Amino acid sequence: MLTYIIKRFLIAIPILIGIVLLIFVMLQIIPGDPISVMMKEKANPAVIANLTERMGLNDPWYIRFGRYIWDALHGDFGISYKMNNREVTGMIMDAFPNTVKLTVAALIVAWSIGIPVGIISAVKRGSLLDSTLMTFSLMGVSMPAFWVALLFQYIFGYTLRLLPISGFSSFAHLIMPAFVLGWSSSGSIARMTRTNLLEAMSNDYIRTARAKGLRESGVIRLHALKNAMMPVVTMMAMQVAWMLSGAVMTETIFGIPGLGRITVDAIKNRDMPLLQGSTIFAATLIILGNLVADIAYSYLDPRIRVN
Amino acid sequence: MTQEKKKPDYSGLKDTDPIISYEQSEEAELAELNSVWDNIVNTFKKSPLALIGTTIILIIVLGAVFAPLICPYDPYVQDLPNALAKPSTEHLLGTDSFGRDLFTRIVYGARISLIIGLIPSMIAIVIGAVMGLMAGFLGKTADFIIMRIADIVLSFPSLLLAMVIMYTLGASLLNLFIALSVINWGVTARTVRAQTLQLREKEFVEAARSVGVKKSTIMFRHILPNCIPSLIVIFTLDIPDAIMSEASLSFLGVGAKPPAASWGLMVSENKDNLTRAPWVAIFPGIAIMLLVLAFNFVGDAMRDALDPTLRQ
Amino acid sequence: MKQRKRSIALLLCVLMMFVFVVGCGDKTKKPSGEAKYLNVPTTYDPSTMDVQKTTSDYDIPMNIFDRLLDCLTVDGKPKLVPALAKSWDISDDGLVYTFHLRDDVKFHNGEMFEADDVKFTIERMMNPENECVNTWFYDMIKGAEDRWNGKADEVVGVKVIDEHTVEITLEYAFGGFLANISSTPCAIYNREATEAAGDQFGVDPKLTIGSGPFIAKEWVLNDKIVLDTNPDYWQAPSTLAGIVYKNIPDEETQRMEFEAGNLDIFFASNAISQVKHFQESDTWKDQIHAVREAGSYFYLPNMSMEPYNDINVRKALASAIDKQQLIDTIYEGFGWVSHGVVVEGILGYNPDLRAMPYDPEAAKQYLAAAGYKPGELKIQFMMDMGTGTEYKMNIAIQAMLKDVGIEMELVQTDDATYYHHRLNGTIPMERNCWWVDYNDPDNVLYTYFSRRAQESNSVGLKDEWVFNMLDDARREVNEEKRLKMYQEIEAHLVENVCFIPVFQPQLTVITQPNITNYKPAWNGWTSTCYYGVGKN
Repeated sequence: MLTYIIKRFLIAIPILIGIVLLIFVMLQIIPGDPISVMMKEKANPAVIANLTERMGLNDPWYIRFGRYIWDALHGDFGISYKMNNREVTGMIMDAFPNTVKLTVAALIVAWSIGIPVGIISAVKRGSLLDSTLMTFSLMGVSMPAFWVALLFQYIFGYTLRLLPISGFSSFAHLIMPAFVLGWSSSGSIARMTRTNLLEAMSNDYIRTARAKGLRESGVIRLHALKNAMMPVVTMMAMQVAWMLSGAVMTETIFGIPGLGRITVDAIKNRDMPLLQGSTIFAATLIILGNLVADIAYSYLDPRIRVN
Repeated sequence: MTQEKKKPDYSGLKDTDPIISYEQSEEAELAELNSVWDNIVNTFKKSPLALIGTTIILIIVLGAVFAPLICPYDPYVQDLPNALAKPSTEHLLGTDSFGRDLFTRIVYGARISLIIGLIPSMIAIVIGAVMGLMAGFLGKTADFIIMRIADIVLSFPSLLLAMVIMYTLGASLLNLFIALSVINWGVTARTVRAQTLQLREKEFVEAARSVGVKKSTIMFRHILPNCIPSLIVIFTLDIPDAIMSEASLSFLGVGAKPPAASWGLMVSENKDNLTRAPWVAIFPGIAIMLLVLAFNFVGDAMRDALDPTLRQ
Repeated sequence: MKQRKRSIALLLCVLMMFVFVVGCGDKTKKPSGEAKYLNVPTTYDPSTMDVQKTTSDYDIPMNIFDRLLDCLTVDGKPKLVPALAKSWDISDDGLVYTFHLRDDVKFHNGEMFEADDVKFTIERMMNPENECVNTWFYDMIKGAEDRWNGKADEVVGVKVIDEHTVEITLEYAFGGFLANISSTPCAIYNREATEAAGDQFGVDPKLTIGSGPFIAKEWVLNDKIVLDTNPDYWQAPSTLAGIVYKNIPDEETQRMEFEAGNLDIFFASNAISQVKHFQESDTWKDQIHAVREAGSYFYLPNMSMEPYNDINVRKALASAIDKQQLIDTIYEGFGWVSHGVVVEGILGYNPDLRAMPYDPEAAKQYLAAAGYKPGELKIQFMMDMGTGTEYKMNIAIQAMLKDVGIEMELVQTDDATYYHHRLNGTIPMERNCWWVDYNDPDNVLYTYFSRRAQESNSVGLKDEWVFNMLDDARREVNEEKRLKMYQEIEAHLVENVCFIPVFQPQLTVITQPNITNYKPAWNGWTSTCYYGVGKN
């Protein structure tokens, strides 16, 4: 097990370098540079030349890349191009807790909708209840996040005045974004729970338990659910990672100062240090999430051993 | 060797049986494929959601194909004095902020959504399948490199990767296909690789190798067909993903180009009219929801029918 | 066994929620008293509060810094009044300005304002190592260019005479100088504080020291910026507790927040369609402030690029656009068709100037004269990624051009690509809008059509007569003559269709009923100094 974890960590390193290289290369190809963005209409060739030189943007790409990796290993992700004199690390660290809060809240919503829906749908397979619940859950996945967010804002925030419209300074502010984000994730959880539970319920050992006379609810709970939940748990681990990397749409509409907002702005502004920093951060979370998911899976199911 | 006309009976065979002949294994595969189709049809007949989904998709596809016949207006002609008109007998669903008939634009928009849904998903499946096969079959180095590239793509937050690609290449339909394909091939590759690793060890593959069949033939004619059920499932579930991604990318400004009648673009263009003329933003959103939901239902039914783990 | 696990899970959930309720409490709530905070919306964070390093983020600097003179809005018109300089003398040749400074101004860090601070401010801007971007505002001062090019160690034109007198000598007699230094980028900084802050000046609110009516208190990225009232302001302190700039990127959301009472001001620029709604509502129908924006929308063809170098093509384009229709549909009628770029409200406005009228038949003829058959001419308009008024205008014009046989493709690029093209002079045609920084025709004409401007604006103008006239006009001391020169230049540009004027918009601002004394600025900027505004 330990060797497996170590091996996965070692593999993660070339992946991260690969990601950094990818962004680096792409940002080189994209026309436009951060300085023109900063100066807009008042662009002054002399100032641009100066700034370009000082930011080291004139050096050959391998030097800049090497310099970046070196700094990154020391925990320094550079200074944002757009936001004068701000350290990228600081910006990410300020935004991250907000994303964490949103993620936790959204996942509570997603799991408390998704899992019960999946279970009920599996147990009552083919019934109207099954169809209704699954439709409700899947609707979350089928509507564009920004559309749902706008509708919610409009209905619950503006028309009914029940909840705050935007911002992030109290618990009440968390409710709508969490629900919007959580609803869309509940679909995949519900689906996976249902599928796995159906599979587990049709297994031999379940038939044996039924033959032995165990009650249906006892049967389901004790045996089927335990086995069905394993792939679901791994999906949950991956969802955590995915959400932590920033839910761009939700954050933009509801005005939440999280990781997603920063990353999107970074792309628009060609703010390379910020983009690289936040993408590496997000990618690390996703890789960790996958790792946790794989380890949890192999730990929970003794039959499966990773090769 | 005797050629039997009826389907050969392999029910008694197990993995531990002596090596079967190459030709016999081919027939086994054909039988498999037939049963796949039967499975799909049976499951669909039983599931009401799947039937609803298929119906919706058919309606939308027909609408898209016969758009010029159904629609009374041209989707691009503006009628500024008539902007934001309520739904009426003249304009079934009202007009948008330029006076263009909303019903027409939604029907034409189906074309874009269907294309965006289908083509990148197909490309992604093809790339993913090829990569997965190569990784699973060709051994250590190829496996390592291909899987690391897949990991890189999978570890990137997908919406952001699509954005960066669109910025790099510029906003056009072709580039949108490229962007959406690139972000989606990873899952396919992983699944196909896993199945290839499993199937590689099976007897019929050894049989093929012993007869001297080329590696590529084995990969594409023998292993790949066994992956098809999973591929179908992934494909039908990729489609709604692609449609949603396009809507999000249009909202962020890097999706379809105006004045295209893309549903995602319509929603994002008209969100400031939500109070004055809510229908302009709501109807396209409903259209997206219906299409995506339909594909989700169909995809779930496909998975119910085809998932190998479910059938054992 | 399962029961216990479930209860534990439930308890954890409740605990987490509890933590949220406590932890996410609104920490910026002030104890309820008389003074209140003004809530103002913004769509994005400024890149810095240091106004010398940004060309557009003027909101905060307007409120935390002072300038030598101020341009106030009196009866809707701009009026230059003394600010940090209580009086001034100008030499007969118009070259030497002697400012007599106030002696009762305290910076937010307690330091008293003196002439050395003025010298420091100008030196800082022109010091090439600081890479300031607003050097245009000081480069008519003697020695400024040399300092900027590294040929000198100081700006010799700025002399500290005594603690409260500073003398500024210009390179040439620029008639608009006083208006110029009343603009926001000419904020006066305190030497001690600014030097001490180093590169965190403009970033860290505690270190960004000015002398203005408000003090920078707090900046949470992507969330809000808080300013507190300066109790020691050299005029009567504001009756507000301060200003909170709330970062709300979506305009629809802003409007909803305004109606819910969480914002005190709403700028209806990108949500013009909402104005009718406010006009019909009882709460707000008397709270609508309108002002003619001192600026306009106009299209700039790149005259170095095909096919815009052909005047017939330009005339065809100009005649194909139905400007009134654009105003009525996209701006709900809140605008006026413009004929030039020096529009009504700007000094030197020429009410007799006439641009090409809307005439689709004439457009077709011009097109034919240029040698194109209908449908043959394919052009590109470039813009950024928005779906706001510019987008709508371009889409509408796209259809109008199609009607006369011109195929227009709208290319939307993101900011960085766009400005890159602009710098390289490769933008084919784009909509521009310019609102004057200070009340002088030079500010708009020079910015686009001077020789200097061709380096960084994708205009492609190659007209030596215009270049020379603009440079000469700057140096003309006689005010009347100077304004006549600008009018001549503008007429020449209009005749040659070097730009296509569209319309001058109206700025509509809605305030809450309990907001007092809000006046939109004379130039129609949304960036406002809120000194004097009250909230009940």
